[in-house]
Amino acid sequence: MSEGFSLEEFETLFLKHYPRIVGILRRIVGDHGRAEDLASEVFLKLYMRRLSQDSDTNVAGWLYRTATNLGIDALRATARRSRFEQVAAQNVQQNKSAETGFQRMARVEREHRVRTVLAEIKPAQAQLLLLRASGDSYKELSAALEIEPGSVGTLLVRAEAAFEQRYRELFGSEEDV
Amino acid sequence: MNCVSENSLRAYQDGELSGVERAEIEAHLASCAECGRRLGEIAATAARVQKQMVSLGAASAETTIDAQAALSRFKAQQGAGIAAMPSRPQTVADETNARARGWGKQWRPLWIGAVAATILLCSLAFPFGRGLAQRFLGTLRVEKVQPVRLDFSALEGNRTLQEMLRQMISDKVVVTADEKPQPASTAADASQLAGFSAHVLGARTDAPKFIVGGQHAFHTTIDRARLQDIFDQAGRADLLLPATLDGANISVNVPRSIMVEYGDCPEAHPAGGTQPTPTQPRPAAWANCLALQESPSPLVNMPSDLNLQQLAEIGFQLAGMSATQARDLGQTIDWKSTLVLPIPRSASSYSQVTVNGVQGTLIQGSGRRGPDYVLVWVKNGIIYGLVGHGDSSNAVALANSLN
Repeated sequence: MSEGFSLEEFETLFLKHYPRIVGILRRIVGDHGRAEDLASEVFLKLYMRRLSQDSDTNVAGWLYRTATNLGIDALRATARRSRFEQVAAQNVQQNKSAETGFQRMARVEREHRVRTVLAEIKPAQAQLLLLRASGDSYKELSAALEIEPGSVGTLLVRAEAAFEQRYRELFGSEEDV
Repeated sequence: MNCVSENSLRAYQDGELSGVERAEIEAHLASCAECGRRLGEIAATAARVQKQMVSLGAASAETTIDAQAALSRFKAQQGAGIAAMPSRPQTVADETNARARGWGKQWRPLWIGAVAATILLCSLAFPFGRGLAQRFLGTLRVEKVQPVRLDFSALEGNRTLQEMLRQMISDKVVVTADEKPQPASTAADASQLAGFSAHVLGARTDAPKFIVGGQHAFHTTIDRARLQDIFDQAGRADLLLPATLDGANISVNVPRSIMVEYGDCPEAHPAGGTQPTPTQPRPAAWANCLALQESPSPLVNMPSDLNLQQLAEIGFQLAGMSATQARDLGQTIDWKSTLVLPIPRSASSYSQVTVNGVQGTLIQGSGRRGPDYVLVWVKNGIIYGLVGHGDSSNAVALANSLN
């Protein structure tokens, strides 16, 4: 299909992948509205690209690569803002009534730390960790991030080591949260 | 078997191996304490990081997202853009390059300046915009043109900077309408296609060609950190963008335009081979070439509380002005209605002239590679550009013969 896909095919792709893409982006940026805005941007880019649909895996790979790229870009930009703004914003956005004030503060702090570290390690490593945590198989990770299937394990080990090292440098041991 | 690789141990831990591979590793692990220890470390690290990642939210929450409703919203928001899909992937950078080619190589610095200015404008435009069009509160509409001599020469040779700009445009700019130009046989046809009345030059009796330029629209989300990186690369880390710009949106809609072309003109795209190199003589017939571009004002949407002057002053400083010069110039311009026309360094001169009762700007080039002159004015919401090869002394008379 070198001419790209039809509107109907685009809609099918949208319905199939939109929820998961919003979910991944929400985990990255921590705000549902922002995640939906970014997901719309991903699908508009897809529509404008008119990818040749060699296989569903390729389109899906492109979608998740683009989504995590945009999400990490947004995260890195946000990470430069003051921590106070971010924590305050998350307090407003994620007010879960079942939590006590202390529990909420601890959760917001933990999320903030994880996002800060993801913003600071190499974007490719952050992408790998985010997609793996979202349930991608090695085959899906390979397609989405354009990496050799035979090196996914090694890259995961390195990404996790980089995450932990940066976390310790910034915040000490994880138990401090 | 030899000790197991890190890659295989991790794949084993994740259940990503075939039955045979799994059995081989298990047989080795049964007799190799070192591999067993490494597997334990890998598994423990993976579990700790996974726990951290899970703290960002569970995948099960995705089931509550209504994709059908999202698709309806998406189609409603992007309807016009989807109807105007390009026939091939194209970015704003492509479009800018195409325009730069169309104006001739000599005029490229003008477009480099324009791109830089546009990006700067984008960067300054939106304190809080996060949604799409409904979030925009104010609109810019061009009513007049202000020529400004800007010197981006310090930036032109910086390949890293140019690549950063190109990459940012590619990553951040979402094109929602990108129509191709199409020929029209008469002024009436061109008017109907473009949606406004085509004007022709009464002083020219030869039959012109009409080309209706397509509608173009895009929006972009401001990434302040990335822009600041670009400023750093440009050697201007001292210019600080307001923090409130980050994550904001700007939308630009460029309506269809009309190009009226007289005489024997060079092809717009030098790839066709008709654009002479600087050492080649230009065909004498080009002196007869005259092109009139008629473009309704582009619409730029942004919040009404935007401080455009502050933005512009940063732009002027990026173009080599001192802070004082930038402030003095910025104060003289009505930023809601004025298109700042960067005068390219290659222009030998420019002057203010009166055209059809309004103020216009006549820019004269050296004429070696591009057009000899460009006359720009704005009247009744239409931006006119008269591009000529040859003697510029009758440019104003030609423009005044517009009917």
